[in-house]
Formats: sequence, C-alpha cells, structure tokens
Amino acid sequence: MARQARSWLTFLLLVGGLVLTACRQAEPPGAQAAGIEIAVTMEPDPPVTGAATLWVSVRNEAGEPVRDAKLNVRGDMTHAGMVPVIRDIEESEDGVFVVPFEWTMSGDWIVDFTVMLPDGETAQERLDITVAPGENEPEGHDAHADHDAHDVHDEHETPHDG
Amino acid sequence: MADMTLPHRGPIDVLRVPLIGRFLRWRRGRLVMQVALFAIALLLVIDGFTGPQNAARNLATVTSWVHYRGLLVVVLLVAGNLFCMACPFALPRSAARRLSIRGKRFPRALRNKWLAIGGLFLLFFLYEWLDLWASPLLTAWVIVAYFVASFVLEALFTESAFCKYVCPLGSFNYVYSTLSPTQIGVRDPDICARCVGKECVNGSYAPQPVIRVDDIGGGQTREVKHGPDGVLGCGTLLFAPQVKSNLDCTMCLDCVRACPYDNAGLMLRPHGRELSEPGSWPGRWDVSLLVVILAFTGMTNAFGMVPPVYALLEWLANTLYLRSEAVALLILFGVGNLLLPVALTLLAGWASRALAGAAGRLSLREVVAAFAPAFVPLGFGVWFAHYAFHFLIAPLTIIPVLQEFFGMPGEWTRFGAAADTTVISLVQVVVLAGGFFWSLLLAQRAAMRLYKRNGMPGLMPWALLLLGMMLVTWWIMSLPMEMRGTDLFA
Repeated sequence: MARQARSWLTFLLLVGGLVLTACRQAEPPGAQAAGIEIAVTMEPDPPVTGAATLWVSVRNEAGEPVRDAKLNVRGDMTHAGMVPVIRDIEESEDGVFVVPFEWTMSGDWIVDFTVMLPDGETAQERLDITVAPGENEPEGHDAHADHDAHDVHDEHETPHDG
Repeated sequence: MADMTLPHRGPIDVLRVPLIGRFLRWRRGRLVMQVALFAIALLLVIDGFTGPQNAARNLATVTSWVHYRGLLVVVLLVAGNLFCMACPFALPRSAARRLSIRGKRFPRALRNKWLAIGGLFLLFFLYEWLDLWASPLLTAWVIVAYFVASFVLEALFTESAFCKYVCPLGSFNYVYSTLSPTQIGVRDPDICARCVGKECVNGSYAPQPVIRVDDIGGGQTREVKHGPDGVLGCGTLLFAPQVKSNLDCTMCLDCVRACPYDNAGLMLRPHGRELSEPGSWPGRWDVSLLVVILAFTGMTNAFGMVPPVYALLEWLANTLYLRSEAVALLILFGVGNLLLPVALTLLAGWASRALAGAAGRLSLREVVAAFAPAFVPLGFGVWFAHYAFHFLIAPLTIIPVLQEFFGMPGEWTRFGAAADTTVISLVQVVVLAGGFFWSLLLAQRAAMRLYKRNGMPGLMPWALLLLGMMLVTWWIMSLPMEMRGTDLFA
C-alpha cells in the first residue's frame, strides 16, 4: 500500500512538473515583427540613480519612423527580488517615444523595450545597463527614495543599441 | 511490563503542543514537509531551466536568493532549524537506506568541519564569480547539484555525511540555530541510561520485523519492536540524552519517533542558552573557526555589494596584473573569508591569554574555543541585516513571479510595494547592535569563566575584534547598495 502510494506520488510529481512547464507564459507574447529597429538614448548618460529620460526611436526596415505604435518599458535589476520600473507609453512623435524613467538603485539593470505595432505584431529590444550611484544616492542600502521630478531633456546623443 | 509512563516535568516539550506536536511526531510528518519542499524545489528547477533568464522574474532566483534566505534567518531565531527538518535534499537519505547500497562510515580524517568550511567558501566564491543571484539557470544547476551530492554521499556512507560534514546550507543552519529557543532533549535521563537499544541513535528500522525483549533492570523487561515501518536513528549520530547543542542537529525528530519510551522531545530553552554554557560545544579548531569564518563571510558577502569592492578589485587587478576575475575574487575572499578571520582569531586568542596571564595554563585552542560562541550573535546580526534588506525591499514580488509562472499576467505594480526604508534601516541597526551587545556579553562571561580575576584584560582583544567587526559592517551597511556583479574584466 505504502509502495503504491509512493508510486502515485512520484507519478503525480512528474506529471505536475510537465504540466507546470507547459503553463509557463511564453516570451515574448505575440508575433515578432521583422526589420524593426529600436534605438535608445538616455539622459543622464552614463546613467546615475534618480530620475532619467529615455528616448526610444522605432523605425521600420526602410528606416522610416513607425507611427501609432505603443511602447512598454520594463527595467529589472539583475539581482532577484527587486521591484521593476515599468512604463507604458502610448504616444510618440515621429516614431520617438519620450519615457520618463527612474533608476531606483545603482547597479546592473536589464531593460526590456516592447513595441506593440499597429498590426498587432511586437518588436523587442533588451539593454544591459550599469547605473552608477548619483550625487543624491540615499545612504544605507536605501533603494527607494522617491524622485518626483521626471525631467525631460532635449539632448539625446549616445545610442545604446542592445 | 515495566511502568515507563513519563511524568510531564522539566522543560516544555513543543511536541506536546496539540496538533503541531502530533503532526511533528507522526512518522510521516517530516516526509510531508520534505515532499512539500521537494515540490517547491522542482518548481524552481523547472523555472530555472525553462523560464525567463531574468532573475527578477524567475522563481529559481527570487525564491532561492531572496525569500528563502530572508525567511530562514527569522525562523532560525524564533523557532529553530526548521529548514533542515523539512530539507528536500535529505530525501535521498531514506532512498539510499532502502536501496541498501550504503557502505562504510565517512573517512575519519574528514569527520570534522573543515569540509564544511571549504564548502561555504566555495559556495560564496561561486555566488560572486558566477553571479548566481542573477542566473536562474545556474541557480537551478546548484539545486540539482545539491540533490546529486546528497544522494551520492548518503548512498556511499553509513551516516548522513552530507548533512553533517559537507552541506554549506546545513552548516549555516547548525551554527545559527544555536541561537534558537528549541533543542532536542530527554525528559528523564535515567530512562536513557537503562535503555538497551538506544533507538534514538540506532533507529527502529529493520528489513524484517524483530521483537527484542530488553532487560531494563529490577527484573523488569520491555518489548521493543523493530521492523520495516521503523524509523532511522539520528543521521548525524547524536545521542539524545547527551545533546547539549543544536550543532549537527537537523531536527529530523527521528530520535523522538524511534524512542520506545517516548522519552525524547523538542524542548524549549532560553534563546542561545548553549552559547554561555561551557562544554556545550566540542572545543575543536574546526568548530571554532567555522563560527568565526561564517561571521566574516557575512561581512564580505555584504561588502561584495557596495562600491568600494569594485575599487578594491581594480586595485588588485592593476597591482598584481591580474586578467582573471576568478583569481581576483579568490584573493579577495581568501583574505576576507579565511586569512583574516583565522589570523585575527589567533591574534586575539594569543593576546587574550597573555594579558590574562594564562599562557602556561591554557592552550590557544582552549582559549579560542571558549570565545568562539561569542561570534554567533554578531555573525547572525550581519547576515540578518543583509538578508532582511533583500527580503524587505520587495517582499511581495514573489506573487507576480508566481503569476507569470502559471501563465497569468504578473501584477507587478500591485505587489511591488517595499517596506519603508526607515523600517529596513531600523531592523538593520537593531539586529546589528543587538548581535554585537549579545556577543560582547558572551565574551565577557567567557573571559570571567576562563580567567577569573583577570577576566577584563583577557576580554579586551576579543571585545576589540567584535567592535571592529561591528563597525566595519555598520560602515558597509551605510554605503549605497549596488546590485551588480563583480564583473571586473567584462
């Protein structure tokens, strides 16, 4: 009886494992658009903790700006367990999205840019960015000081193509 | 039949608490907990191998490096070594016994904590070098490696060699469960003295049913049944009535289940009682240095996340013309985790003995062993302050990670709240200062016990070392945290 119970338990664990593997959300969602170029510039550059602005330029194969697209930006620190910074931007000008962002802590970041094109397809870009401590870096492993100002600057020079 | 009914006296036995006690004493109680943690480990391995290679969005990394560690230090302090109790890596022990492929005892030369020290050093070196916290895939491999190592060692040797001599997680838990308020004990030592089978350590398992009649003195006898439904004895070979410490106790409770007289229990005790009781620990170099090294490792582990570590690594690289990050980290951790703690411990022990005028009376080993327990509270404070930061900064992010694992959209905004930074800082200050003063008190007691009237001068070197460690940790904690790897040569 005990042996039978153990066999069932093993079987259930194996089946459960396979089912859970299948549950995993596929990444990225939606069909992948071909030939879309995503270029990112930022201010301040190099990035430091605090408020920042990202300019995300989206162009098609012909190098023309993509209009009427939507942008999702998600910044994760490479260390597990940190709160991501997420921005959804629905308006762009000549294919350039202006994203008020915030580097909440110095260190290594993974920033995913997902562009939802008007035809439902998506395009993605990932940047690995190292953020240095800013002048106003909070003391004491303090990562979540609020930064109210999301200054938007006009200059955006250095591209960070992933 | 002898009347072996036990009066309920002495310390409070947690296993007498309704429901909880009954569950823990149930012969399948531990297995249920282990299967639950095994299922969680399975999820972590699945997500580590198949999920997104983004540490913040993967169960393997979030659970292993944030939530497990954050909860572990709290549970060790308020309850005891519950993780070893429910450890899924110990499941192979039972399997190995059933497979009957166990052979000799672990080699005598390795029956100490040197391997554990090496394992801890290796784990924390790999953690930094390979940026394990940032890699779900490597984290999953670490979990798999734990299972394999546990099974192989359990299968090859007759005792729980992996738990007792190798496991870095277990070594951490053993050391800091010495602070906890529970400990295996017996209600009546006389019963243990008369016990013939010593089932708490020998077990009541036998491939075929056996009934043994014990002569328990006074012309009285008692039937003791062994059989396939019996339980294994203590895997780490502790004899319940002689247990004075939580070191090496996995809290498996097999001793309790195996005892034919229902004499063993999980007793409540004052927090960290064993640390101030002489003779609780074996006065060996390996045990003493494990405790000190673990405290220093806590400091270097935190130091690995603040800006000066990058400056130091760069300086090392330029000065020694290094081109390998692994070598630079080996030097950093070799000095910080091994050389410095060993050198400072020997120096403090030598100075303490000399200042107290006890050079001819006490060996250096005896002095170090007497003061080693004082490093437990401070070391624990260092680890607690570090782990609490990682846990409290986003405690609920495990929920959206789980949501995404099960194919749902993760509600990151909803569950992205962090504890107030003032609260986090306060927790860090309290555990660090609390650990330091507790350590100082233990050191003072050890000095008075060891040196009598010359206790004060004998205390000074140890007090200075503890103070220095506390101040360095304080400085580290006051620096801005940088969540990045020590990827020096990228």
